[in-house]
Amino acid sequence: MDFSIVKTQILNNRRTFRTPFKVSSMCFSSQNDLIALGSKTGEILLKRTSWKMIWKTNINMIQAVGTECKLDSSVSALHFSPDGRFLAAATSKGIIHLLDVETGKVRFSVKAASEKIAKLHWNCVREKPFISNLGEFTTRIKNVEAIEGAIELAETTPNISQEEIAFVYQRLDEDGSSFKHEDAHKESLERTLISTETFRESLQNTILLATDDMDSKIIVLVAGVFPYMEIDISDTLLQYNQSLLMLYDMHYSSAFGGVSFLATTYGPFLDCKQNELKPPGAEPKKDGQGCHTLLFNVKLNINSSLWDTALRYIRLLFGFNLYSISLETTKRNWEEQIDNLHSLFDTKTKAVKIGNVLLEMLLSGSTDAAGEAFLERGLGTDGLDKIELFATKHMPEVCRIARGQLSTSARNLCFQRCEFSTSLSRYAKFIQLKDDDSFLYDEDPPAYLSESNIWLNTLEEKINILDMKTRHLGIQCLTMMQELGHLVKWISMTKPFAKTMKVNALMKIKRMNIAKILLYIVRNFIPDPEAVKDIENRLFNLKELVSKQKKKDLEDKFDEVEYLYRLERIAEVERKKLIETFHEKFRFADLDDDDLTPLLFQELDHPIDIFTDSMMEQNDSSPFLEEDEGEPEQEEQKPDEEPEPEGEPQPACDLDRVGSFFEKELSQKALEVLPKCDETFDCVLNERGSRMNSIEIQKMGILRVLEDLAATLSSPQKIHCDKAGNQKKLEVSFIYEITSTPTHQGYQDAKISSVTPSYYKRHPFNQLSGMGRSIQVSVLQKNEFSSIVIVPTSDVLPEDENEVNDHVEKLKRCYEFEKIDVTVDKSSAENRPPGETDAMEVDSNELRIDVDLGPVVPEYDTLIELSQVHPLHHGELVLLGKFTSAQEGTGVMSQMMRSISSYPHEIPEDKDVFAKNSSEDGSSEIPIETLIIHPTIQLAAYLHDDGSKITIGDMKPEVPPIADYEEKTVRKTFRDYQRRRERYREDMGVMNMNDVQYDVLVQEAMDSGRDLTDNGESDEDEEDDDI
Amino acid sequence: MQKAAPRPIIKRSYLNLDAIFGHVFSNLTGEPVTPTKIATFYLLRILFQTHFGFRHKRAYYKPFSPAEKERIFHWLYALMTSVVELSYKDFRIVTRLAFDDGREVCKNFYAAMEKIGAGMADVTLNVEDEFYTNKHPKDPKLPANDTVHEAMDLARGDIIQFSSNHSFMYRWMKRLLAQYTKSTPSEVFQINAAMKSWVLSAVESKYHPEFKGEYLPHFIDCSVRARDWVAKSIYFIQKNPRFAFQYNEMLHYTRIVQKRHPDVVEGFLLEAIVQVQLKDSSSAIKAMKSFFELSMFELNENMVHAAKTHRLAVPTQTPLMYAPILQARICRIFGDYQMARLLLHESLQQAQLRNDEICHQMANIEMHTVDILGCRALLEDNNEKTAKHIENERRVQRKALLHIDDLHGHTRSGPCCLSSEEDFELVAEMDSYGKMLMLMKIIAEGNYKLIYDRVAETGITCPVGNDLGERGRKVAAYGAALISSNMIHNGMYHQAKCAAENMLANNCRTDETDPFQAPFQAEPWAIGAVNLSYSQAGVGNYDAALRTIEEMRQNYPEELSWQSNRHVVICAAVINFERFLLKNDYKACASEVLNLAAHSELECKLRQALLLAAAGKERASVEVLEGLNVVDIRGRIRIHMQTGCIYTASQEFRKAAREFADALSLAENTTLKDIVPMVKRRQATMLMCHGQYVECLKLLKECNEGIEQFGSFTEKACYYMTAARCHRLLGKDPRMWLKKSRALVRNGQWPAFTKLVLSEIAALHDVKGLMPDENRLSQICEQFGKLTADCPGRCEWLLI
Repeated sequence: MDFSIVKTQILNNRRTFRTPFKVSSMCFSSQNDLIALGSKTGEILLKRTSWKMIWKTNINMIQAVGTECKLDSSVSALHFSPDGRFLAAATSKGIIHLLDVETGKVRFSVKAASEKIAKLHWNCVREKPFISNLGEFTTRIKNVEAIEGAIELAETTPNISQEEIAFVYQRLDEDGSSFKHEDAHKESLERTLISTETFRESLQNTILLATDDMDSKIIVLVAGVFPYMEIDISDTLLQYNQSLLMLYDMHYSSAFGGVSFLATTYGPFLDCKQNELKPPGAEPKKDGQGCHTLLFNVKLNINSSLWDTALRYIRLLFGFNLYSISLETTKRNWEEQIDNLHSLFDTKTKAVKIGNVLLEMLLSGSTDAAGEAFLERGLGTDGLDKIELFATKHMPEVCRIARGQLSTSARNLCFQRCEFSTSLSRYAKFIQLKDDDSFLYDEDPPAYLSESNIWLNTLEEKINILDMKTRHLGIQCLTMMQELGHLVKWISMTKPFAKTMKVNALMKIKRMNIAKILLYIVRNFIPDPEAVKDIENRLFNLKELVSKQKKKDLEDKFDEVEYLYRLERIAEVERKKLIETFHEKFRFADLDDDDLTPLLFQELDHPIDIFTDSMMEQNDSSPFLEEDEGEPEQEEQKPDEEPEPEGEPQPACDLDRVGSFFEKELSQKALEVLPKCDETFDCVLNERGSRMNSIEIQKMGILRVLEDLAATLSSPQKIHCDKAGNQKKLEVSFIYEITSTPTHQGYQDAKISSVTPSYYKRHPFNQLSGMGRSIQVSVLQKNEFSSIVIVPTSDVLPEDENEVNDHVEKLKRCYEFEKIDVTVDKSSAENRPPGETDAMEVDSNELRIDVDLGPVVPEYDTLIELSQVHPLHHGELVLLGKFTSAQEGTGVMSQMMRSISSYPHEIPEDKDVFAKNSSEDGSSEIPIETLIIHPTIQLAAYLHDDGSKITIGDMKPEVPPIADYEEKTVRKTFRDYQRRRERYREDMGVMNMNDVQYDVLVQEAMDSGRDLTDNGESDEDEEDDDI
Repeated sequence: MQKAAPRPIIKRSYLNLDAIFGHVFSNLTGEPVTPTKIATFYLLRILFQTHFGFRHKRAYYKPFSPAEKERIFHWLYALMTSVVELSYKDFRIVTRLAFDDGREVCKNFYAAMEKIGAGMADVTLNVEDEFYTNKHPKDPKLPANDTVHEAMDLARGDIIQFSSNHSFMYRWMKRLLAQYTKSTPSEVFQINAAMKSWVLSAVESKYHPEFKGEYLPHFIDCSVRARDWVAKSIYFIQKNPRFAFQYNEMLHYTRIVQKRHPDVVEGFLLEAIVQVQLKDSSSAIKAMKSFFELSMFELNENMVHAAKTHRLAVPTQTPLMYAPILQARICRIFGDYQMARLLLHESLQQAQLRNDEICHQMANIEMHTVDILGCRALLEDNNEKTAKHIENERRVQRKALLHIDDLHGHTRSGPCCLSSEEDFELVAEMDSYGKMLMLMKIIAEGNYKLIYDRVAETGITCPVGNDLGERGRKVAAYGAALISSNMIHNGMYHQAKCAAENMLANNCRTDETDPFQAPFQAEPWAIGAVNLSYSQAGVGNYDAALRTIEEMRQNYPEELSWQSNRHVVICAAVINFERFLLKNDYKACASEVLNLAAHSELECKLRQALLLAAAGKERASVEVLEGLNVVDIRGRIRIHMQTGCIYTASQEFRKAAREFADALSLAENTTLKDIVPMVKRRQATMLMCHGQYVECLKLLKECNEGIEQFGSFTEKACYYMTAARCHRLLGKDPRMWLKKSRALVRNGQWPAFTKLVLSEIAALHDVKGLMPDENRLSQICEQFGKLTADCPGRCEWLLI
């Protein structure tokens, strides 16, 4: 236990800035000198480490498929993608956004968890060391990463992007000229398209892990976008009778073929075979139960088709967004216009019923004065023009969107869905075949994927319905368009219009199906369904009526002769009355009055009186009509006389066949002419036609289908569910026991990290099979901490075994104290400088922060407690410890320490020596709240003063592991790279090889030291932020 | 409607139109006068008189109220549109239903009818002027300036009129009267007699219009309806022949229409179409020619000119432009590309002379179709061609129009379409077809990457306006069929299946009762169904594929539409051939090949060669392949691949390598997704046979992704087999590959292949093999024995 602390300067160039908001999470990019800060209000800020701002955005305004915009969510975790091009930002509502680091735009959003996501972890999939695969390329070329990148790219990028065939998108402008999409929508669509190239370069081969707040689940996002798997931790632990006490960290490691997580559990002592990395046996190591900290590894096989699936998932979500945005725009425009249309037919009086007026006008050519007046003046040629405009301009527009934009994206969805499930099933087949020998030896090998996946089936069904609905919408539009067109034509030929419309009536009537228009008018303009039925019967079912009457006559024993006599009698009576009127003297005296009307009307009224009176006498039942006819005469007259009893006035007409498609359920109007799917090929199409024709599906509006689809799309984890909707058991490939001493109570902090992170492609460990992909587990308690390296057994070649073991042993650390009371060794500080002092070039334009200190500076030099551990690469650690000072009343202060020499240790004793920061200028230290460390350039940033201030400084570089590793290349600044990249872009057009080259170059530069300072321009715009 | 272009007055003698059509009035333009119609007319007249009065006498009863009148007209409409002839008894029931004993309507009507029946009155179809004017004439007894009359007239102004000449009823009456007035006295006599017997007969007597002893059904008994029937029939033949008449029946009626209604010139068009369906090209062309001859005139709209020349009609040049297009189409359908091209040239020239954009576009489309179908030089001088192509493409590929006025330089010179709306739709349709033709061309050149957003999408979603003729759906189906075919072409079987399923299931019908709304059953849909079948066979699901074919056979029988049936025949032959081949049933294969012979030389010869090679006649097989002259790039590659395979099987590796190299160099110039992996796989197999295992493995690794994604069922099997054997021979673990092969070939689809896999496993677990395991070995040997007993025969997988 020769743990000692020396005092020296760990942080160079320390600068403190005031943050623009209370920081809730922060993260360094491993590839650039960038730091991302997230706030409680959803803001994300990307800054250069020199505090120059790159962009700032708020992710609360962006919704993921299946979610609403939530303004009150905070940024709960941030993590850069392994190549530094994307930033994953998790919110407290369970959404993960991927932001483009360059522009700050959200490129992708997915709802990954139901609640707050507490942690993110983004790893690269690393195949076995590259060098061994490369064959002839093992020469020591300086820029080996560039070549590597080029080869990788050449292998992964196909010469054609596959989705070209899949009905492409940018048609927003072509379809609707008056239905304008909102620019914001358009923009959000454009920016959410991750190109295949970008995907293959940045996202493919990465795994993003997220934990939810309750620590109960780890969500595995393949390629950072596709929530493929959900590890329910309690469930997994239950397999081994363990219950979760504490979850520390998670990590994806391709060497172990799965997701590892570190947890303290309570349960029986498991028999973990430490060296073989196998799942524990059934027999516990010893009796009883206890507390242990274990590393679990849940199997996750990676196959190239899985990346395809992830890409298709992006495409699916994009297609969905495209569809819903188009639909929304259309809907918004439609409602307004259909109201205008309906108002045209409003006669504004109950006496004039538009339906009856139209019907009469069309059949006989004349109607009562009020009706004609309405047609002539109320509707008028202007109104007719408006209807025509609607039918020839607005309707075709909707129709064009439905048949263009919408159906294109529906088809695109179909295609992408198919690609998605094909690649998923390829992956599933791979998994199924991988370990199942029965395929090889059984006489009748088991069927592939005997049970089809419910989630996939639902997805297919939903998308099929959407496609169908879209087509139906198009047809429905056409129907409505044709109906309106015909109606307009026919109305324009009626008397009030024929005068003004210079039309050749014959020309227009030629292509009209008059029966259809009549039916249309009857059904749409007459509100009373009883009357509609009646009229329809009369107009179109003459034969039926006749035969019905015949039957009735037969039943009633109708005597036609009797009937004729009755007619005769009535005629006689009428005749007599008529003769009487002749006898009446014409009163000439009345003519003297100028006003003739009363007289005339009296005379005209007269016959009616006779008529009704006589009828009443003659026939005690209905005078004019038969009973079974329902006396429509009286019925129809009644409403004229008395006001309608219902308070709600019925609308004159409802012509909208289309509007309800935008809603959750189709209206009766739309259902009337709803097309039916063809059932001819049903027996080879899985009964699809009849299923689609079922009432429930027919009634669905597109909005409803979209909602269902969104729910399905946003829960792809359900792929792993069985028919009952339960998650299938996950396979634990091994459990590694960290500790299980009886006194163990769990750790304060624990971390898993790669010994050699993916960006150290040239580290000698990569050449040593086994070491390259090994992981390091660092755990820490108040008074103890240790760090071990776990090597994937499958990677280790027999000949390397000893060397590997040697390394593992040397990297191992273990410190335990009864009571920590390590005092900083002041004397050693001068003797052993931990490294060079001028690692960072000082930017002369930077603002230095000079803090005026009080006269007495208490010296916190006694470590009393350890609180956090931050593993760096190759076994190195940075610790956060609580120090106390000799002075009384000064309390404790969190301070960071780090090991002074990195592996391999030049002086073996140095392994156990840690350095505590001391400030050269004598300024006082600040208690550290949250600490993050840049993984490559070892920049440290910590928050203090309640997250309102941040201090950034670079840690002194360690002693380089290889002599030439430190070799300085031509110094290039970040700006240079940026300029160069822009030049490339201009020259070469879009994204291609150069971006990769660029990234590789930046990376190389960073790996070999700190030369990414921005010494070109001064950061004038940032001065406000400085203290 | 657009204004007609000013027509030059040509002073020369026209062909004698009167001679062709006889007197204009001699043709039946109106409604045939039948008893029901006469009765309806009488009823109408009585109703009018009840409402209005007779002459200057006002009606005794009060005029009908609007509601009453509406009801009356419902009944009248029903009577007027009644398709069947009602008997007198039925008619009485109708009147009783409608009017019962009100206002003596029934009584008056019966009286009038009985009068005719009793021979007391003749049928007279006259209406008084008041019917048209709605104004009471002045009582002749009254003095000239009778104020009472004037006042009454004034007061009547507000009272509802009975009818106007802007109504359905009026048009019906006009047509009936037109027919009646031109009847000869003898015809009037006949009408009278018919009416009399109608009234008197107790039972239902039917009156049928006849023409030269032939019974005229209702749908062609007058020229208006005949024209409608012809139009409908044409529509149905194109959309879904199931709903049209039988072809022979149709031909029969067409002949009647042609004789009886010379003004319905479309009758000849219908005949031409029917003849095409009956595969009688010469009759079709003949009928087509008559159609255009007869339609070479149009009604004279220039009244001054008409007065000068005393001619009602003038000849028109429109048929000169359009006739060659249709005729060329018939020539094209029956394979006479040379003739078609000549005709189209003529049409193009005419269109250019007359500046008719629509005709020009139409002819262009046809020309391109002929070019693509009949072109024999797709592979040659690619460079020179591209220069020409761009020009061509610009002719047929145009930005989508929003309105017909957007069409530049177009003056309508003929009545191609009656309104500009239709013009617009037509142009849009033509544009869409043009775009898709270009796609077809690209596909034929072996391009997978299609310019979708610019071409295919705008093509498929043809932006037509009202779309009365369902052009949009037709175009969309055309596009979808093309797309799904291209997917098959590229080995994307799952995607093609998805596309085809969508196409078939969404072949909607909008109205159960209306045959107009029936689902389509035309060629694109047949292709969709065929593609479904291919996609099922492509992944080895032969049962489903055969079921689909069976379904198609029922839906697309030869006698209904031979164009659609063709695809079914080809598809059945291709799939069955593959199925039988896998079962080593070469006899059945040979008979399937014969079915193909009539349709595609390439497909047939390729398979013949395969059969020959399987029978051991490698030389002959290579000769067959070498004798093939193929235009399609994919076809050429396939020939190379096939030849290479045959050489591989006969151990001539040098020659095989050369063939594969040729194939590869061709394939690499295309963007087809599956072809490069396919060639490489065969190359790898060849290398393996040659013993170059490392090179083979390298090649296999290269094409792994391609085969997994785009390989067909057999392709995958061969790939796995090659990989497994290669791995074993190199001392690596081949079990994953063997598992894949066994899992792929199941249910005895390919017993020979299963045997091959088994022997491979046996070799692995053999005592001298990589993983000696006696238990496994005996287990496998047992399975092998069982299989050999069931299906003897060797697997010729090297050939595939």
